[in-house]
Amino acid sequence: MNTAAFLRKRVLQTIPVLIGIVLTVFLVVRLIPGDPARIMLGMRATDEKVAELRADLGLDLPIWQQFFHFLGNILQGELGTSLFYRRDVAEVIMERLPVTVTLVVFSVVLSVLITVPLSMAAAVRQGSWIDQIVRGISTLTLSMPGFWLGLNLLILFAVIYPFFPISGFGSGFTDILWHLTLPALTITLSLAPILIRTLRASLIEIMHAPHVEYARTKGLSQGRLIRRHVLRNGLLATVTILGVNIGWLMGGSVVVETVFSLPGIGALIVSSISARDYPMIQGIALVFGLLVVVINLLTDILYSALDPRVSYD
Amino acid sequence: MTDAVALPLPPAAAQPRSRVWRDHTGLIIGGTLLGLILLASIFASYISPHDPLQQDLRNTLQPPSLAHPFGTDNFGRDIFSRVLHAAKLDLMIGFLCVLFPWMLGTALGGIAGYFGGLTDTIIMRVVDTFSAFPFLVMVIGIIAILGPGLISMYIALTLAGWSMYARLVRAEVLVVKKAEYVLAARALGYQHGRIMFRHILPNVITPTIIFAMTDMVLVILSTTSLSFLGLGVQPPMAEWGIMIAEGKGFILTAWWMVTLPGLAIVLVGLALSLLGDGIAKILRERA
Repeated sequence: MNTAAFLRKRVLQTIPVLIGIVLTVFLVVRLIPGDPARIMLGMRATDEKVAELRADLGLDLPIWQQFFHFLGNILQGELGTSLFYRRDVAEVIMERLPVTVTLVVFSVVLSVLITVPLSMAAAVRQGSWIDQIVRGISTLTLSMPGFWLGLNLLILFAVIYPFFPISGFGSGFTDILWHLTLPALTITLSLAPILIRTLRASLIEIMHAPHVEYARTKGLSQGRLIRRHVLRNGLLATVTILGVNIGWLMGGSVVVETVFSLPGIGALIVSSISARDYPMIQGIALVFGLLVVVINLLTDILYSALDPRVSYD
Repeated sequence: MTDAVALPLPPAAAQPRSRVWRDHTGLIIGGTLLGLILLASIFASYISPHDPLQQDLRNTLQPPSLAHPFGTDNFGRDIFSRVLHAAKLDLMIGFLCVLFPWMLGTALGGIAGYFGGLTDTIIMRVVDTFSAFPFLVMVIGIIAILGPGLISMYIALTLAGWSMYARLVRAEVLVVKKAEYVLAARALGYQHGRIMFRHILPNVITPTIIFAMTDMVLVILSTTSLSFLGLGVQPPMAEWGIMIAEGKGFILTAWWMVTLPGLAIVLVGLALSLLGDGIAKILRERA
């Protein structure tokens, strides 16, 4: 199978998952025990208001009609009106999405910069003191909840030694990076142990692969061996592992945005739950689901581009 | 021929003690740590120096001292006593939030793998959909439907966590169901239920238990995160995540309200990780 056919097949595979995501998000409001419209508006709302909202959300139609109504709206980018902000949900999400995306991208870059050299060092000198320290520290940070890590970084680097701001997003490239350093570091520290663990294991496997053993018997120096034969395959492993953990990264953003008061969609979904703002919750859940599907798709495509051996079936 | 196979393995006790220690350092440390934490949580009311709910408004926000090893909070309550009393709740939540998804995932994964065909396709499509959402986002979405609280958290973590177990069990069942003893059981005309429980389940369960051990670390981190966000256990119950959330407002003046309760979570996580890795290592060596 050639690349074009692979791409076509891979893109088609996402369709059932996309339908599943839309269906799940659709069911969110329908599964609320009791009358969703009544719960959203509260006990003091008049019956007319409740009936109006029910009609607005299409809740008085038969369930299958409701679904197609919902699907049609989504395809037009119409996610309803926020009950809390009294504004278009899609509009509010689009305003805040850049914050979350910047945070996630920054965290990925930071994670790669930290985990790749460390896993490499640990894998090359398996069992050495470097390996022991890297593994010890990653077991320790794996046990640290992100919100606690974030608050401690705040106490240390924003209160006791005030290098970084306590909260907010800032404006302009460097200012934003400066504001996002501690949040991104928090996500990185909770993600790094998972990445290092998997990456170290696959690097060790690569170093014992036949082609590397062959190069070693040819008398290649250790440095050349790693640069020429291990690093490229290690890069593939990194891409895969990052793709697998993207969901973990997004979950991390929910907690970290709340801790650092960042105006992203992660903090927004938490505050929307307290406000019982269901259209907003639906919208954000949908965006998160779509992001994961798209990123997994991109990972697979990137993988097949990096590795000519990848099997297309 | 036969005596080569029948060579007895040296009993574990015959190994020099230093070797047991060297091979299983993590397991021993993790097990001891978890044992101590369990004991501390069971006997919390005997070993805690103060009443966890007793307010003392003249001694609010006191830094750690001999009388208050972890300091006091904004109501003058002793943080160390509160951390000890919260242990029971946090450990129980962690355990149940692994047990429920494990049961659901094992059942559905087993059914999918055993029966195959349309049943398999339907269950696995559901698994795909459930794993498409980021774990925490899915949990938060379900809690949004049910409203914040402990029961919602159990349901949410079960629904969000089972798919990994289903994948794992299905893959194992696909291998085991081709084994001769299963074919033999089928040829004998045993019923599906009996074959699944007596012949297949015992042979597919080990990897799920190893996974459950590491999963429990992540689950405890998630449940404390949810309570921190105000979506899980509700105040005024003493729970580690809630205690840290309460301390969030005081990070400028009272670092101990945040840092010290969190150490309890780190300690539990560390104990479980070490224990899980150690058990996985033993099982791998046996296999």
